[in-house]
Amino acid sequence: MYWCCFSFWSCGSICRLFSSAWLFFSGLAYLLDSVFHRIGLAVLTAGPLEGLWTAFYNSTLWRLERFNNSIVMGSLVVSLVLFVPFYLLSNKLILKYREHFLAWVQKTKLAHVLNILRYGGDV
Amino acid sequence: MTGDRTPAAPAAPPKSPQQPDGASRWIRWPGVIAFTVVTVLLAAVWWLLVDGLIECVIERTGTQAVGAKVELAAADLTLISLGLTLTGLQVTDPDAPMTNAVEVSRISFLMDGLNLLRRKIIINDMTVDGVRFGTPRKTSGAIGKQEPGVVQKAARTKFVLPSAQIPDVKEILAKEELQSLKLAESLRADIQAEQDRWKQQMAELPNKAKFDDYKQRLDKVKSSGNGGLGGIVGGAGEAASIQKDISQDIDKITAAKKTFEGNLVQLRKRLDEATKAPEEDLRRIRDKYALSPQGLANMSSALIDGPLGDRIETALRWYAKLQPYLQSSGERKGNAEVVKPLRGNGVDVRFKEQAPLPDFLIRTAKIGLDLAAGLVSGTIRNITPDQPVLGTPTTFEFSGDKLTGVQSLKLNGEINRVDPAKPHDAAALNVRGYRLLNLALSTDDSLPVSVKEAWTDLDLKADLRGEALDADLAATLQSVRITTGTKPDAGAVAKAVAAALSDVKSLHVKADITGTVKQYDVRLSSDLDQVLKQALGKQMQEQVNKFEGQLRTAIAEKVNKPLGDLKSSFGGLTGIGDELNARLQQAGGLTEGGGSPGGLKLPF
Repeated sequence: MYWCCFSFWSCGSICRLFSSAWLFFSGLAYLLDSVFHRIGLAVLTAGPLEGLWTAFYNSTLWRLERFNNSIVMGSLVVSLVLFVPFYLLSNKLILKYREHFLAWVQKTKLAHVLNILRYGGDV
Repeated sequence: MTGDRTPAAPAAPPKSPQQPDGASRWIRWPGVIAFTVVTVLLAAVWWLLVDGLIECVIERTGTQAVGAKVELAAADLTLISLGLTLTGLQVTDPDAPMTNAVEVSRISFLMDGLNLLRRKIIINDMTVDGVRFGTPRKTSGAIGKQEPGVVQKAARTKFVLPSAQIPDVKEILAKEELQSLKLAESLRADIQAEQDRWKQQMAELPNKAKFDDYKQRLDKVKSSGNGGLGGIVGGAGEAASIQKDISQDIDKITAAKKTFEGNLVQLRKRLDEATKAPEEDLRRIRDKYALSPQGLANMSSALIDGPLGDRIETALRWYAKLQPYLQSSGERKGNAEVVKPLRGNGVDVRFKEQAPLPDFLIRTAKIGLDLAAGLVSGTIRNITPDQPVLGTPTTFEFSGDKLTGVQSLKLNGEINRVDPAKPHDAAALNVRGYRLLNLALSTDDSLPVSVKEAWTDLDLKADLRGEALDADLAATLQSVRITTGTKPDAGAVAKAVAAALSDVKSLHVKADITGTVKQYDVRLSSDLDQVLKQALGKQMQEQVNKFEGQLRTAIAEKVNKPLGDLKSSFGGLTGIGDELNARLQQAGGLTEGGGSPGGLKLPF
């Protein structure tokens, strides 16, 4: 909520991107809660990692991060695992997008509206 | 994350827009100002609403837990020295919505800020002032849905005044089923069936005609013995064959006789029971309709059971409500403990801590109970739902001296969940010089009884291990004034009871409470038993004797004829035994030699 407001006030492209991504991924995370919970619980209760988690658990900084919550841990593990493949895949998709869709998107009314918001109508 | 920046994209870039002023600078002041304004506004809104939010959360959570309205007049959160003060807390009694079970004037405490960052609410000192019980409410605190009762007490003894009138015997016998009649009818049918069976069997057994036939054959063998050596040999073979037949018949009759005698013993036993049954009926009906010494003891127990039972049920009901907060819903997985928070938020896994602390802990709560008698102060230590983490049980102690109407009061105990598999709760209450006023013992219309005044010493010790409840209560009442509301037209028994109770000056009551929290049993004893026995014993005995005499006559009228018929039917059976004996004798006579006529005597 806070960051949504901030993005509209600043009208910056980064903030817009951030808020859009935040909304999208929050929704996605909500849908995938049960998967994250299962993965997180398995990781947190894995015998070989118990010493590591115990050390973290005794640190206030880590406790603030709520690493011991099954959904937090599950989503972190999933994001770390998917980071590299997702990075490579998204780069390819962006290139494809620029090649095939960018010109068409620029012509849409939505793009015009966004450009007006971004550059104050001096497009 | 924005992709490859090489000029690979063939699409033309958008028309170069004019860059806003200062876009290339590190700090964009409009953004900073916007950020600051938003932050300040949010902080202001939070500051204005946070107290209301806390109040709302406490009311909602409390209402859900208690099952009736929980209201809070105000909540005040302070950030510098992080603390909270709650004023005007009212917890409605779910069973009496116009009454507050508890009302607290002020609760204040400081929280440990550092531990709060670790999501642990640690309160070192809490002060709870002005705790009052049973205060009236202006509006109903009911919330519509009533939680079903969890405490199931053994059936409470109802106070019933015994009647001086002798009950109508005919009316009683019209609705009571006599066991003696049932037994007599059942036995008579069985005897008849036995008779029919034996009648048929006797027809199949060897009889006089057969024995006469044996005799004729024997005579024939004897006469053939005079025909030389061949006749002697042939006669011997025939005689052996006859002897074998007779022997088989004797065996048959002997076996039948044995069976018959066995059956006869069983039937005789049942006959004896049926003969004694009228006395059993008499005893049962007399005990049911007339007052026995046991009934007198029940009457005195019923007087005390009412007010005591109400208090036990109230205490256990509140104890049951506390249960969910005494122990967290943790589940162990190896050395880690999985604790379920709100649904949809995942689970928090706990690991071993170097300095273990529960998620919620009040180390010391100082409580001031504002009772009608005066101020009773107490301390509760280590309030937490995670006692296994803390390793120490919750303890409490309250005391008050020189109160109005109470010389001294002391309550202490502990709630121990350190080992969740072996929960153990204990409490001890000692009250000295309590002035008991207007305690209703019976509200029965026939004889309302109340203790107008008494000075009471009370000792209660309660122990709860798991579900097993064991409590002992001993009370001594001195300078007792018992009042009874006897009407001028009251019966002799009511007057005698009233007079006996009015004379009571001291009273000792002992209660033993056992069972489980959900289903308990109270065993009461008091010297009221003796008082009532002395007052009513003689009067009741005369009544019982008269009633018993009338009842015996009436039962005899009903059962004498069926019993007589039964005995004569049984006599018919003995005739069968005689017949069996006679046949055995006849058969035996054939096999005997000697001088008996027709005896089996070989001609050599």
